[in-house]
Amino acid sequence: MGVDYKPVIWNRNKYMYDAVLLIAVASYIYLYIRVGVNFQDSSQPIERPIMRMRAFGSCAFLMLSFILCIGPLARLNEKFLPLLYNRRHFGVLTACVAAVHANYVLGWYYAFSPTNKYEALFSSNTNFDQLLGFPFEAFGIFAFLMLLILAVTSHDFWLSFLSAPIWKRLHMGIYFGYASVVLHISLGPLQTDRDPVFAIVFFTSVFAVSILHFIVAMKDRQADSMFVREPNPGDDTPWIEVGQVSQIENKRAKIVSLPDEERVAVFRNGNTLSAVHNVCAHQNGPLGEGKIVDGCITCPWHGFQYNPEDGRSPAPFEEKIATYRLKLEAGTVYVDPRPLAPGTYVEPTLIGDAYV
Amino acid sequence: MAAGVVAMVGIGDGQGVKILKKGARKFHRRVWGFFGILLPLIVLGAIYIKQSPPTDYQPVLLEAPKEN
Repeated sequence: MGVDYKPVIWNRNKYMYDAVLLIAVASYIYLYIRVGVNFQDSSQPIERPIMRMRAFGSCAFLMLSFILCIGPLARLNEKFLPLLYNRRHFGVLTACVAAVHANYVLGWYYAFSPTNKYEALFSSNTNFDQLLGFPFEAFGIFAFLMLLILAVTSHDFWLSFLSAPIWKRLHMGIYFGYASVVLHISLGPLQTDRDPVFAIVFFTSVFAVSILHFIVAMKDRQADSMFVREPNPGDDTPWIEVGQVSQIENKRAKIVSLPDEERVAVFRNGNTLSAVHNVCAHQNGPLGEGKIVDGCITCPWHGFQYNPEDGRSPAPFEEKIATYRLKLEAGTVYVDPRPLAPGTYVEPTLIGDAYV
Repeated sequence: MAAGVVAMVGIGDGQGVKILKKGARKFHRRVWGFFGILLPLIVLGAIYIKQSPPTDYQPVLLEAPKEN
């Protein structure tokens, strides 16, 4: 079976991103194992394999928390957008670190079981009816499987093979994976570890992820209710008011929500205006939060580009998005909420000299 | 329509086209409207039920069984 896709090409930024990531992870593991040992309770020394297990486990948790913070941070402040650029590699590395943690767990707690270590993992604790002593490993297994599936399907091949909507839905499963990690730690190590620093770092991380996503979710809800513009009565075309042309910064867009809660990005490119669907065909990135670079609308997430006039990606890429008709009356921009077929050319709306 | 479903929408009078709907945004909003409150509560609850080891017990010296 052949799937036609064009992989995103490696560039200097990606190499730098990955190098920083690898150095940070290696430093964390080294410091945890080599330096952290000096801070442990000398009356209860921790075995080396347990130390490594904790180092990789805590590293995977912190990495996953950080990954989940990148999305909302980038929505709240565009300075964080560079972190989003290569987030997939971050996720794959997290899955690898979690795999090392799982391997240490199996090697230390289950290797000497009279039964197969995998069988022992599932059968050694079956106290599902009690909270304290609950087999928290189950949550860890679920989260690890989720990370593994997402890491394996993170490549652009799978994006093309599954299609963007299905791929996106699958990868939103990470939210449930994270909830599972939180339960895994809450009912496992948090119950046995006496170090208050651990509990503080854990709670702070979970709180940061939760509050950031919560704020973005609420802002999104607010935006939908605020931006809906009702059609002008007495007009065959249900034109919807976007706002004053002077409110749209050059090379930038104004996002407007339609009555069906779809969003349209109205871009200003010099003295012309064009409108496209706000959702990038690659990974549903918010195009209206991007800008026009070299004459093309550029997605703020991964740099996918589209011509403002027809919503088509420049060759050799073949992505295309829906376009919308615009009109300008007395300095006010209106959009026809009915989307045109993706890739349909729409003559850019000229802005008169009075509004430039 | 179920949350998280990326719908294909069609509009009449000759302009009917299929575009990605706002499913992902709506799904995120619903999930984090719930998780945003639930996850910190889970952690606080876990800290609350955490049991400390007894502090008033004298240490007991364990000896290896004597060989007969």
